[in-house]
Amino acid sequence: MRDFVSKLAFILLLALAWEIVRITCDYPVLLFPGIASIAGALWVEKVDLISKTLFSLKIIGTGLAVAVCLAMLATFISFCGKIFAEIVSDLMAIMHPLPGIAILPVAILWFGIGVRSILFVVVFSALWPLINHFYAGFRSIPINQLEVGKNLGLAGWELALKVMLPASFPHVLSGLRTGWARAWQASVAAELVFGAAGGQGGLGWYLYKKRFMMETPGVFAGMLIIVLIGIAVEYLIFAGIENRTIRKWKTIIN
Amino acid sequence: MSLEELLTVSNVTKIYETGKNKVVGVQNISFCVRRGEFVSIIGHSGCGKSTLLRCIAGFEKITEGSIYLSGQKVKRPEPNRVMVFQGLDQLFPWLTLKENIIFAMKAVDKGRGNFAERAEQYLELVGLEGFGDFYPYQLSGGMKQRAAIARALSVKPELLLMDEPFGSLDAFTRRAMHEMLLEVWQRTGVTIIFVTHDLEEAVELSDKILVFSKGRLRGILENHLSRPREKDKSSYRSFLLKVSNFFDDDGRASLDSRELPAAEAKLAF
Repeated sequence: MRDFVSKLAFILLLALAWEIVRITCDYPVLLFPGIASIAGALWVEKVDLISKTLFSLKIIGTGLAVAVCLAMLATFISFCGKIFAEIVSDLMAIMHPLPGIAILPVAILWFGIGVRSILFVVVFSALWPLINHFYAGFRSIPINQLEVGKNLGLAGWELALKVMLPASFPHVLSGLRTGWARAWQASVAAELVFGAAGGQGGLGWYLYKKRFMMETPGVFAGMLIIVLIGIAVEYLIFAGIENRTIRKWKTIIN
Repeated sequence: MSLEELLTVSNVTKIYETGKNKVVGVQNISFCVRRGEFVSIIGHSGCGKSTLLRCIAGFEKITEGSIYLSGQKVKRPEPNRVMVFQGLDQLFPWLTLKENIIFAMKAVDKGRGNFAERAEQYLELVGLEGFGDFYPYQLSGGMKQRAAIARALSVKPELLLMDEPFGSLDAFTRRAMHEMLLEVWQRTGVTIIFVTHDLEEAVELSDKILVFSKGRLRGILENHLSRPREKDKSSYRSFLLKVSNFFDDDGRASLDSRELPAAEAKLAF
């Protein structure tokens, strides 16, 4: 509760600073809308915002799920032999620095403009950081725990899922956080740059439209939603997982 | 005590190849262990005693020779010989003590059974009754090692391999662990191979002591001191002296293997 109050106070302080800057510096409303007009936009656009948000969440959720499965698969495969580890790490070296948005033109050529292209970019953007974290996690588990698992006759998938995955959970969780952030960034960026097809779109498309129409409060309202979802996911999902796992097991500091 | 041979190690050599270098881990080791015996392996650190234990466990592939456990060739790690490590991180930190033991029993015995009740019995065996719902981080080092022993025994191994399991513990805790281990050994009848660099620990615990140095087995000492062993008895002191005479000032076993091949180095007391 104290935690919640202090966070609320911090947000209110930020809002206050925003208003002070806006009033004292006398920026045009079009560039620097007040808190009240942003709140107004949020209220007026609530139906549209909710449907856009759900659309975005659906794409990101699907993309992230696919990326997590692929990343797990790649990590397990890279533990099957030195040659696989080299292939995966070479792929990482090539693909990880490539921004997801940079492959959007290719995605559009392959899949056309629409949900599938955006999904492709989301999966691509989340995949490499996920593999990076999972692989680092699997390599850093205590050797004793791995050998206890082998000693009990576990091997292959069973060893990976029952021993290596929980033992590397601090890394897995930070991978999921990064993957989630990358997925959001990719979906918003893709829609901002290329728009959406058939009137269906997510929050990126919403931002694009509002900017195009010069409805600045709406732009900020869309950004606010993205931030709020980020906060909600962090505190409701990731912190919850953390408290029930690595914090409870004390496999992390703090 | 039965005289049945459980473990046969014959002419085992382990050579590590790191790039161009070849490092001898252990060389031409032969001995056997009878069922129910408590065998210690002592030696200077780096003498190959842990390497040999890891070969018996199946964690290391041997370069030459063979290891047989009740007639079966050792090729890979299996739950019929379970290792207890020195490190205090061998329990799975994401499971409670009871869950750690249940995990092991389930991994080995895929069938259903009253795992929880049996886990409780093993905790009791090592003196950890009532600690089943604790997570490893909530325990002291000694308790962690007790739990690791309970987990190892829960899969009913024929051979318990212990790699300096009390090496990370203080002297007081160590004494309590010795008592506990002897009691567990007597109650379960499990065969134990115990690696240590502490001569007194070896003399106090084991029936047979293998002396290692520079990757070779320098001698096998039968320890006939009656149990429970009393440290102030003169027979205990003189046996300890005999064991320590194997080591010269720099701590390496001094018997020359050419003069005294391992098989003939068997000394009786």
